[in-house]
Amino acid sequence: MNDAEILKLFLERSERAIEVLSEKYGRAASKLAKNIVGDERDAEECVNDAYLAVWNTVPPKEPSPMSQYLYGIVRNISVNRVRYNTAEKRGEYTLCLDELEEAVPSPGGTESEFESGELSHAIDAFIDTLGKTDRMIFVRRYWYLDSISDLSKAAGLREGAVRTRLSRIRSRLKKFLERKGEAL
Amino acid sequence: MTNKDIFDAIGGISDAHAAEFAAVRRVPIYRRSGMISAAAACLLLALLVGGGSLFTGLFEPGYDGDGEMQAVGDVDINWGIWESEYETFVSSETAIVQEYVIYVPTSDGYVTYTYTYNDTLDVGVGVILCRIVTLGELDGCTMSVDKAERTLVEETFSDDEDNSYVKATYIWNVELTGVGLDDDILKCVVNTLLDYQMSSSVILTVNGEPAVIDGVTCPDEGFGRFELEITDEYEAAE
Repeated sequence: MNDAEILKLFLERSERAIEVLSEKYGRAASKLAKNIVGDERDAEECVNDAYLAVWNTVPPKEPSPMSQYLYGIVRNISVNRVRYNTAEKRGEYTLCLDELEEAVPSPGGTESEFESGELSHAIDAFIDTLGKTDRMIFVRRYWYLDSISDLSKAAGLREGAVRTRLSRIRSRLKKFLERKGEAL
Repeated sequence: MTNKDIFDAIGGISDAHAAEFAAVRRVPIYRRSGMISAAAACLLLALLVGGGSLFTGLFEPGYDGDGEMQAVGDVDINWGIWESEYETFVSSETAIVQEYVIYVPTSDGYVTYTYTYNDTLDVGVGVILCRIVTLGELDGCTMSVDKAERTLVEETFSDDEDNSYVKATYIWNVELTGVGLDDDILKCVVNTLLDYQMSSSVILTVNGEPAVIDGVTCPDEGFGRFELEITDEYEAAE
């Protein structure tokens, strides 16, 4: 069933809508949630919450592609779950946050602050400057929170090479954001 | 600005960027629909037992295992078709020897194809030829790549101070010989070549004649992309 047909089920308030959405995108959504929260049961709850959120927001929204709408909700719910989780887990979320410290523009180097949404647009523009492999590594690491090991297999590169590339990308992102900030 | 701000902002990037690699785990393989033929299954078994395969034409064995080998670095592998590893070595005789390993995921794990070739093949050509030949093997073909040239059309570098490499565009000129090279496998070959970097076109010769696919003879400007079924038959076991 394609996205248009799934959307039609939601618009008709058919109970099959979530079932079909789950069949088509549930596996990837669960993997994404598990990457972030690090626990199967928490991940399952996050995905179920996301299905409910989709149900409650479609309509009026009519997202396309449906997958990315679902994944975005899963990501937000899962990140919130981790942030409010008091247990000390060093999952991919924590590791990614640590890594992204390297991409934070230097204090004083960028006096202007990005308005809400501008930073996302700036990062969109930055992603456009990356080659395909780097783009995949960056997006899969910091959007989908894939492990270095998974990225290594996916890109056909050694884990060390993936780390090196990520480090270079973060360094470039830092410079990019500093330049963007100066231009604001 | 904090790392958390950046993390949250990455979550707000465009759907186009976020979705581009959403299905990355599926390890898509372009191939005809349906199950592997009996001949291909036998071949896979033979490869599993034999531990690898060498091919004729450009794939003459180039390294006999002697001499001290020195890795010379990671090489950027084209994304998206097979999980793969790549090594470039320099032998003590200074001949450049390249070994390329392709892991084709199956429901039971991986089938490994190992190719060794030498001298004048440049890295990109070698890599892509390995993929083509593996593709043929999976579909039960006997295929030899007799010629493979790529002509650089355009290179793009980033505008920032790093001036780093972004992409290159190529035209491929490839000659194949073999049996079982039907429309479906040739479409796969064309798409595989087009998938390399940002290749713009493919000029393909099969058994000495311009390739004919779906009744159309390969025009001078090369074939365009074919819409093929992407199966998840070989989806990697997690």
